[in-house]
Formats: sequence, structure tokens, C-alpha cells
Amino acid sequence: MIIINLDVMMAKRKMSLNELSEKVGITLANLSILKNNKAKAIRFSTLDAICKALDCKVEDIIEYVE
Amino acid sequence: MLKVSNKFSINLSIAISVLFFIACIAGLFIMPVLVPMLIDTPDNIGNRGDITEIGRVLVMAVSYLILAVFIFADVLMFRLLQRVKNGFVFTEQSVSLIRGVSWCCFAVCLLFAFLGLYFQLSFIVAFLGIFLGVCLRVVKNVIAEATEIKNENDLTV
Repeated sequence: MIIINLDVMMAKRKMSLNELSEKVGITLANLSILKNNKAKAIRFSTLDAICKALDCKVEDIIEYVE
Repeated sequence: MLKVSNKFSINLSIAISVLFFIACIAGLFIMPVLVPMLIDTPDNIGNRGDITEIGRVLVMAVSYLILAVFIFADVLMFRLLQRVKNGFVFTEQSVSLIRGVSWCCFAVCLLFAFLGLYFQLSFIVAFLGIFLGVCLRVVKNVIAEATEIKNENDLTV
């Protein structure tokens, strides 16, 4: 199962959901879907923008667990 | 081909479904006159104008049942049209509405098949009923598939 650790990374960077959505350029609703692990797919462009905004690696956000 | 705008098309469908509803309500009042007339008119393919008293009651009851099913299906269709108008087409509820209408078609088909015992031409209507029911089921399957795709698309960020 793939889980999203967006909230952990956001806490580390002390960034709010509003701020991140502005930087990444996706709506708050879509960001909430991603953060709450409801998303079924994520575009590379979105992933790219989030990593850039949070200055982190992909594996800091996405994790595979048994 | 006559082509109209999408909005006009939806309004036209709504208008037709309302007209159909009015026709069904009118049918409720015309039925007590029409059905005995049909029973008493002998044709040369089955009805010899000698239907028994029980048969008359049965034909009357089944005719009313058919109208009731038609009205129910029309209400389902009207609700579906409202959903289309408001932009909630590809949802689980739409799929179940279409499924309901297709079951209505099969129910009407059974009822007409029963009427076929007295008026053999009814078998043709029953046959058409099955065809319409199958068509609607296929549409339902298509919409269900589209619903899944739309759901996945909505949940892609």
C-alpha cells in the first residue's frame, strides 16, 4: 500500500495547506484529497511542484508499506 | 440532421417527460372507457369478444398496473434528467436510476405478455419491451463504466 506523508513534511517545513496549495498551484480541495490518502493517482507535474515547494525528495512524501 | 443546443435538448427531454406524465394521468381516466371497448371488439387474431367476467377484471387490473409502472418509470427518468441538468450525470445514483427504468421495461413486458393471452397483438409490445429493457441495461453498463473513469479522474491530483 502506498501512503502519503505530506503532513509530516509540511510540519517539518512549517508550511500550511493554504500556503502549499498556492505554491504548488493546485486547489485546496485537491491538496486535501492528496493529504488524506484519498487520491487514486498523482501527476508527475504535481509531484514535481510539491517537491520543489517543500524542498524535499519524492520518498519524503510517498512511502510504500506492507 | 436536426441539431439543437445541449441545453435546449435537455429542456426538450424534460418537456416530453412531463407531457408523457400528463398522458399517463389522462390514461387513468380514459382506461375505464377504453379497456371495455377493446374487450368487446372482436378481432380475427384471438379475441372473439367472449372474455369471461374474471378475464375482464384481470385485463382491467393489468392495464392499470402497466400505467402505474409507466408513471414510476417516468418519475425515475425525470429525476435522471434533473441530475443531467445539474451536472451530476456520472454518479452511482444515475446508474441506479437507469437500472430502475430498465427493470420497469421488463415489468411492462411481462404485463403485456400476460395481456397477450387475451389480445395477441400485445406480444409484439412485450417483445419491444424486452428490447428496450436490454438497450437500457447496456446504457446502464456504459454509464457505470464512465462513472468509474470519472471517479478516478476526479481523484487524480
